[in-house]
Amino acid sequence: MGVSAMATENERLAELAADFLARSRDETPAERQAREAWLAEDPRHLRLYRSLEKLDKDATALLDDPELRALLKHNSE
Amino acid sequence: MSQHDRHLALNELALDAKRLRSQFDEAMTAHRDELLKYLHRRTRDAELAADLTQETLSRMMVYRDNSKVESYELLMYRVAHNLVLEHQRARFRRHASDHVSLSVVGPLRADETPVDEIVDARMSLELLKRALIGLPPKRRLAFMLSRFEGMTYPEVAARMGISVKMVEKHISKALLTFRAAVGERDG
Repeated sequence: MGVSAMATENERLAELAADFLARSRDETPAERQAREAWLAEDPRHLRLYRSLEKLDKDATALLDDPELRALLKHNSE
Repeated sequence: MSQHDRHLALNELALDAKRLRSQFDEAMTAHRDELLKYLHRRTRDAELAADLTQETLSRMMVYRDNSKVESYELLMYRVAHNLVLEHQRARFRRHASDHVSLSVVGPLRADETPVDEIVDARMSLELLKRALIGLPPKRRLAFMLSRFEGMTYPEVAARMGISVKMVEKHISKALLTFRAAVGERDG
């Protein structure tokens, strides 16, 4: 596999991981099983998933800043 | 300034410092258990996780009086993350040569706390903040309603007049945007 093919493969896996993570809040037991199976399948899957989880958490923590929130609200309207 | 005024001003400063410290102490207490779980997940070793938790908290003491730290929680996880990496490197070195002293994994003294941990954490936060601000308005709104307001996806969907699938798509794409913005540090 060439370097760019590997990068593309990684992006595809990142997209899958992001979909699983976004869905995890609202998932059915069957979906949960599918997610856990996917995570156990390959250490890369788990790494990608964990790093997205951290970003999710960090971004959520950033929203604790009232100034940033005000700015975001302002821009959303 | 009269003696009395000076006395009041000093009192004010002392109160500020006290407030800062109690904020710090509360943050550390509130996140201790979660930190331990995080380190347990990372290391899969209960004893090591407990040690690294202790070490993280003791390294964090340097920042106790630092009002410039944006989020103690984020900094704490950055410090913990770096400790795990340090530990793994040290273990690797031990395997590579049996003569390496155990002290390489011992605690660093407070005055040796790497400055790059702060710089690193701030840099990532700044990039993340910009990415948040730069999200398309609907995507940003979906993320805020879900993550900050704590709404469920059906609630977000109803508020925004879109489908639940679309809400999930917004969240998923927002996460990928953050990843691209901060740089891929998977692991």
